[in-house]
Amino acid sequence: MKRLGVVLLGLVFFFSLAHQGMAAENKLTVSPEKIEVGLGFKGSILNISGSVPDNAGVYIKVSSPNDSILNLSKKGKVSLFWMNVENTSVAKVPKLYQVLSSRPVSDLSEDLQNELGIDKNFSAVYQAVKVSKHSESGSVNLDESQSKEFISSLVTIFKKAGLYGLNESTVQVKDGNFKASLQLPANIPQEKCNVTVYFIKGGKVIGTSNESFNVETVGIVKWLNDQAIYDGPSYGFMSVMIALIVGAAIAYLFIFLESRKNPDITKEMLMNTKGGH
Amino acid sequence: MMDIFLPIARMPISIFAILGMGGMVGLLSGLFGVGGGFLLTPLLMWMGIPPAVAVASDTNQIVAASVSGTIAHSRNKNVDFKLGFIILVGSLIGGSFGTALVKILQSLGNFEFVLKSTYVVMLLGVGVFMFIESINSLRKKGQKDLGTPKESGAMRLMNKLPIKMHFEVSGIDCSVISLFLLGLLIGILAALMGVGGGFIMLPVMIYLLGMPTIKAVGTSVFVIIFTAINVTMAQSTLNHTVDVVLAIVLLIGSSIGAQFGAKLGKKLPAEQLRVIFSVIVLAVMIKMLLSLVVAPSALISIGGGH
Repeated sequence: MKRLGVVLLGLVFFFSLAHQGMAAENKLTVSPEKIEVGLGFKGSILNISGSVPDNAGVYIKVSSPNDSILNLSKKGKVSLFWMNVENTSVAKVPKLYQVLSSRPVSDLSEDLQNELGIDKNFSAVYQAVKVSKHSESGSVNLDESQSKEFISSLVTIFKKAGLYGLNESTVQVKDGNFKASLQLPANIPQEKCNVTVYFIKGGKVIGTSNESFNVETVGIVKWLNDQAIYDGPSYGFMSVMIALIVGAAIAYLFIFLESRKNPDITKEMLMNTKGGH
Repeated sequence: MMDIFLPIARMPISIFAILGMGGMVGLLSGLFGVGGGFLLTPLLMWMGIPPAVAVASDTNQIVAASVSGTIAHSRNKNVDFKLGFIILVGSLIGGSFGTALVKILQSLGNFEFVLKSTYVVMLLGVGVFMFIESINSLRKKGQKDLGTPKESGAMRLMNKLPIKMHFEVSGIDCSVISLFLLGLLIGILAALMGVGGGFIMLPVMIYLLGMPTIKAVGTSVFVIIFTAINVTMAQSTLNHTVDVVLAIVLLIGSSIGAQFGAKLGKKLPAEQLRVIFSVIVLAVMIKMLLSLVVAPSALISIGGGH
């Protein structure tokens, strides 16, 4: 019985040491772990750091889950005028897709780029996204060649917004450790985002690390968001009441200010206001 | 620059830029009795706010600007509440008809083309007519200015309709039925064109009802309070696109602007007011025409559709 206990303790000790060793090898720190979106939010800087095994190249992918559905419209010329000629829904879109690396992406073979989703053209997005066209008979799925135009426009829009990007040679490697900073724009999706780090040597992946960070609305921003989505009528009523009260308050403030400037007409003005109603 | 994060638009924006825009639009609202959405919505979109959020939040701020404008105009006895109320009832019913009509027209296809070309033609017609009429009035020196154009054929036709009523504030006698029908027409057109109705209401009140220009402005701004409330509620319930933080910053600016607009309107002669209004109508028409004729910078955009 005693022997069995010693063996079990030994095993536990061994596995905990082994686990620590593995963790140390691919240690990854993402800071901040939680990004809070409040009224003063202007975007955030994400710091990623860790250790590099065997002097490998570091390739980092920062992405949000591909669960967004967006509506895109296409303009075309109808006789003389430019009109919306096609409306589509684009599903399974990640709203955030940033790649950072210590070495050029072109160092990786094309197959590896496709496998990891790390390339200049964001081809992983093209593979995941589904585009459907709105028509009178319902929704019709577009084939790969027809979808390409819409996905490419979406990628361009997200690139301009700072949500998509390829940042080569922005990961600094020194003394077996790496560090990188990524500027996240204010319109970052409010969900759990992933950071995946690939360590690549000799054209092969010799290690990976994963970590995540949360983007959450807080305070009044959270409350208003929830109200607007889950209780539209009350939110609308509140918005209307605010507008009525502020509009009237400012009008009466002007009456008050004018009456102070010219006390003689105070009585007349107030009588007119009451008379009007 | 002081920035604030907009919860529904999901982006930060400069408070001072939005206050300034609101002030400018409020000035137009107080001056002409229009909502000003035609100007503010594109400006907000230009600042990066999603189109659906820009339209809905703009409608919310119009509620405040028109309340502020109505109080300012009522001080000068320029709001005909009785007449405005009858038009309002018609326009709310017309708005529901118009919304249903939009759905039918959409199913027929090519709706947008018909809609936009009609809008351009209508703005051109109203703008040119008002411009020529008010310039002619300005030229006729020595004649007594009543601020009202002469009686038209349509006015005579409407006066023949039954249930006549005297409207003390506007100083006109008019059939309740004709007012209701005009309200209905304004409501249908506003729903079809996706606009607040001020653009249609002001010329209708001046030229078809024969109301003095400044009374038409005051009464129009009063009616717009309710149409804007109606649309804000619909946008919040169906589309969830009203950004109340954006609307609050805008409406502080627009309510102040509306006060100055109403003051300025009191000082300007009626003909000059009509000339400026017609120039704005024509400018909106040209802007709309250009957006239809000039090739867009990007053919595909987010959030389009109906």
